[in-house]
Amino acid sequence: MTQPPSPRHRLLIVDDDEGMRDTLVDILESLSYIVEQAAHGQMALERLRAQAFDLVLMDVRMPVLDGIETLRRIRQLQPGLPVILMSGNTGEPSVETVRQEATAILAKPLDLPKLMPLIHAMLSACGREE
Amino acid sequence: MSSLSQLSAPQVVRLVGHELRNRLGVLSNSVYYLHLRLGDEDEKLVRHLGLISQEIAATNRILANLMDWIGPKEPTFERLHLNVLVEQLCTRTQPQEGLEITLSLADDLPLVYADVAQLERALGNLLAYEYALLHEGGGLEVVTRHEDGWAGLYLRDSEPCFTPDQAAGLLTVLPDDRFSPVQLDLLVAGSLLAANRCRLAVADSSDLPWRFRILIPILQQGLGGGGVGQDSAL
Repeated sequence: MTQPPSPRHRLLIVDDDEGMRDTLVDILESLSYIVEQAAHGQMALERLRAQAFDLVLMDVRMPVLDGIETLRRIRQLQPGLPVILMSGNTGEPSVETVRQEATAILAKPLDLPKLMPLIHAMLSACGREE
Repeated sequence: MSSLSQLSAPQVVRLVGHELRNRLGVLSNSVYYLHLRLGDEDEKLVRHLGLISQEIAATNRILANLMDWIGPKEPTFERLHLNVLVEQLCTRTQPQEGLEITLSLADDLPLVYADVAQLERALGNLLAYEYALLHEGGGLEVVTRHEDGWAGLYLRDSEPCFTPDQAAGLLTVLPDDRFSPVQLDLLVAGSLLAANRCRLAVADSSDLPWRFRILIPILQQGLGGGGVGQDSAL
């Protein structure tokens, strides 16, 4: 279950559920990632404009600005940034519209033993390994 | 905006179910974190974390079944290999000790045409029912074969056959005196298979050499799509 120590990549968790954000932050920090969080898409875009991130893990359903529209705006800002979408309903039409733009779309509840190697592999594939 | 009392029962189930799944997701994350931090040294801790994970998974399964029962989503048909799906399911779902599973899968089985996630859930529910039925051990054989426009999947086990009365109510009625998760497994399997134009039958006589028979349309039937569909990874 334990991952090898990763280089200090900076990850952004975007979810309106505080419990989900907090637990993901704790898990990823324990795996040596630097993790920041945002409660909705608007806040995420502000964070992305302010500093560089290596990967975004983002919920679809959120207030203020949902994950679908946020992903579209991220693609205008940073086309190559890995973005993993999380959805309780991966087959819903709105998710289908951004299937090409998302680096991956994961079903909720998350399968964490699969998510952690996926994050590691995406950072490697995008040349974000240090 | 509607008040809760103005919503229909299925709408309430969907809303509450979605929220409960989020809460379970947080619990699941916490268990994962504790496992990362605590490691495997303390056997009792590991056992209790495992128990919590099992209960979270069981609750998620009940919620998923409830949400499918009140109205399954429209299937997204695609081509898939039934044998691969069966092998993956039998590998992933771990039967209890004393239960031996045998696979007899046809070499000549054509691709079937179904919603892969829904078919996987339906077959997974039928396997869960079989595991519960065989909780004291025994044998389960999973057979696939090609038959006249369909891919047939048969579940045979070592327990006695249902009576006609038992078999008749199995796919249509939930007992009203107590909630039975495995009964809900069956009802949802039936509705998901029906949504995917499959046929599910329950044996009501020991003359039939199977307990469940599932007929799944093979690709040539077209289903109005002329056989054109996405290829599943399966």
